Amino acid sequence: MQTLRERAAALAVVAFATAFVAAPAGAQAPYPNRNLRIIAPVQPGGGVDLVARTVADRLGRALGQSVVVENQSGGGGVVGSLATARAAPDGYTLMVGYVGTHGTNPAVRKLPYDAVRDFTPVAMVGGTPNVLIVPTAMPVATLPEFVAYAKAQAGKLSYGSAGPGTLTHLAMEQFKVAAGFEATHVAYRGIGPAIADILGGQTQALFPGLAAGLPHIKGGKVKPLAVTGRTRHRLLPDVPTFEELGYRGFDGVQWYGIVGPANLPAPIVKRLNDEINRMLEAPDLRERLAGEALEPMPMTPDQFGQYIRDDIARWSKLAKDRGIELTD
Amino acid sequence: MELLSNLGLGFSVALTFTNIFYCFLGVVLGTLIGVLPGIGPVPTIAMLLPITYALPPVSALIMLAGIYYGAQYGGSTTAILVNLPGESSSVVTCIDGYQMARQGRAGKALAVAAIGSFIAGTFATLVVAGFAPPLAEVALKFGPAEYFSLMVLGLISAVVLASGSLVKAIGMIVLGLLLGIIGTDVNSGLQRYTFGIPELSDGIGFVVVAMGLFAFAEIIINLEHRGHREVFTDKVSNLMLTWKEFKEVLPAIARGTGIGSVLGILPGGGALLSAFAAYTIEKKISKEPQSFGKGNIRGVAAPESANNSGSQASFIPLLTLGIPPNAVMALMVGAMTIHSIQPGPQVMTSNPQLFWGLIASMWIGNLMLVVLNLPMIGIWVKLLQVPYRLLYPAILVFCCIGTYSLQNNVFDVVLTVVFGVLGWIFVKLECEPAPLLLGFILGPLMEENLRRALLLSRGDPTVFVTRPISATLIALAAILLIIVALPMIRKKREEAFHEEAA
Repeated sequence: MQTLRERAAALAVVAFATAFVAAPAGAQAPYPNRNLRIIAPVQPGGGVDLVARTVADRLGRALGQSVVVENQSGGGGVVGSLATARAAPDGYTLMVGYVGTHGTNPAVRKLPYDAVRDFTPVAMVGGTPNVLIVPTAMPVATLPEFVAYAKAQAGKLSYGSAGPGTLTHLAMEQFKVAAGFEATHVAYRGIGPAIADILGGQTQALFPGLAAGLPHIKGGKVKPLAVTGRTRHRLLPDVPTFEELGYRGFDGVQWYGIVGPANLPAPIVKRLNDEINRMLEAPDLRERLAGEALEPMPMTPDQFGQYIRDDIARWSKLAKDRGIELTD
Repeated sequence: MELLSNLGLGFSVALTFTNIFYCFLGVVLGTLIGVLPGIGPVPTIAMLLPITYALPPVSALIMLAGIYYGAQYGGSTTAILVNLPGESSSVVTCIDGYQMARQGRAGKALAVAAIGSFIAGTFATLVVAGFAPPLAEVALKFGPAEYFSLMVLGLISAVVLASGSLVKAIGMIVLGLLLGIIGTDVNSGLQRYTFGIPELSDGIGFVVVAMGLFAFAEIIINLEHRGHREVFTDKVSNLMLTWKEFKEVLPAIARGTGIGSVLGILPGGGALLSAFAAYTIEKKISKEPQSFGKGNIRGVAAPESANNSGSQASFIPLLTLGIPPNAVMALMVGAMTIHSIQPGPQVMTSNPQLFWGLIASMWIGNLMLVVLNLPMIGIWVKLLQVPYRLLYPAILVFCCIGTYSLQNNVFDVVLTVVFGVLGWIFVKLECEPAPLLLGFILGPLMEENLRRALLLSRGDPTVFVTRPISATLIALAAILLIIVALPMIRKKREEAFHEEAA
């Protein structure tokens, strides 16, 4: 006859054993079985952060797990990218990869990671075109007039950017080469102060993303001359694309997507890609992205990977041609 | 009166039950995170942003704005009680506020901070309501040349700010400038003094330096004198100000409010600069400048008023230009865009309820803060009676959580400890950390704008004296320098210094 204590001990052993057996079974529970995190490699506020929070919110509901946004800013996205590249490829750490981390940065500086080899492309979210703006007071109405004006000024014009090597800098350099005029680059810490100085008349041209430029175009202190991208943007239907005006290769946009560490298992990538592409169909999500002038650009993981490689190649070529390299 | 009808519209929006509730929620939350060292409004607002999707845009912005100025408010509480500047603008409050707390006058310091902030907030609300569009035009006139000249003026005032040795003050400023150089150079995009550490590529965080130099160093010093650590709570005097004291601080509050309202509209560091400027001026015109840094009540009143009116005036560039002057405002832009409101010059005409409702709610929020906080002063002061062996680990833990949350990175926590040790060395050498912080903040801005101004002028240095605003600022700086250098005044400085040493 077992004593009470023996029986209790036996029960405990059974419970322990069950727990032990259950644990590996738990690990094999279908993905995802715990919280995910999306690293936003920037400070809170702005397009990357917005995309991270919007995707986190929707993805969390679709997967039935909390998705936490972690802002790891620094070095124009290098700190967050490095953290992602080093994370375990288990599908629980993702990152918002954007034109900075996976487009222009690899083109202009030596990075402690490889933007292609160290990441798995998961899904493209969307992109916003850049728009060339000049002060309303400038005596030009169209892009060809601006080019003629800039040439007549013979290098007296200054243009702002959100920082050396950023898209706003490279896009203007690309246009300078294509149109054949000279202008001095003046770098700012982010697009905000660069906009303040074109409004104040300190600089004469700027190439911001549409979301940043639109309120000031509406405010009437600056006027848009042309947008990048393949088609006109529905928020600025009267503004021509560079393509229309005869400039080739101005289809680069400020894009945002989701990437993970290298070697993410294919089924996980497929699951996430399906969920994100499905959410891009939702009308209310489209509306929210429209606030940042973002057009959804659904892609398969392979298409997204190709897009990243093309974008890096595009900006690398330009940076090389213009001698833009931010390494000592 | 258009202003009155606009404000009428604003109050009709802000005084609905829903909006009062969200305003209250915002200021309470803001006060709490402000009091907790290091947990600033940025992560809080970032976390709450998704929740605001569901709210009407006015309520969302009212709540977020409440968090912002509530945090400014709560930040001064920790600055006064435990010498811990949670927000950059409360660094100056530490100087005299903490000394007052040590003398048992914590209640009075908190009261004057609350009253000063309220008066400043009321005035700044009127400024925003009445003059936002023209002031925004003025802010746009500030190009790189003007900013550079303003920074020159700021740095020279920092020398005047120091209460001790002139040489040490200059030394600390230079050290601050050097620390500010660390990071990525804005013009070339190259890294300086980062030793290949990616975490350093955006420079050292302000909160890291401030927390290390002030809070950590203070704790080390206190633990050093373990046996006989001063207990400054036995002699707590009246919590409220006497009428005589009130009359004494009122002019200081008025001056601080004015300075904050002017400097706050500049995108880029306006609110912080205004606190420093207000303190410097207060000390300069005082009959007894040597009492500053030793618990002068006006040394609390002026910067507190200045930073509150400054932080409210910083809504001007956001609301009228759509240019966010700091990270909090960038998040507010985010909150607007998710509701499909494009922040910018057209907000005032396209969304008048939002614009005026937000402005009216600022005043209501300020009123709530003062009503909430004045009765709480007694409770805060009681906090000082918590035995130090329990208090200091709590402060340390909160500081570490705070610095970690800056970038979700352990590196910043380690760096804070390094600055704590450095701060302890400074105390031993009798060097004041405030000028270092000013140099640390102004240095990079100054360099950036100098180089930008010269780029724009194609290398012509006369740009600083041919542009009228810039020339005026440079002239002011020169006058200030002459005053400091005049032998007679130098002698007076030395006297003051000797008295202090005595």
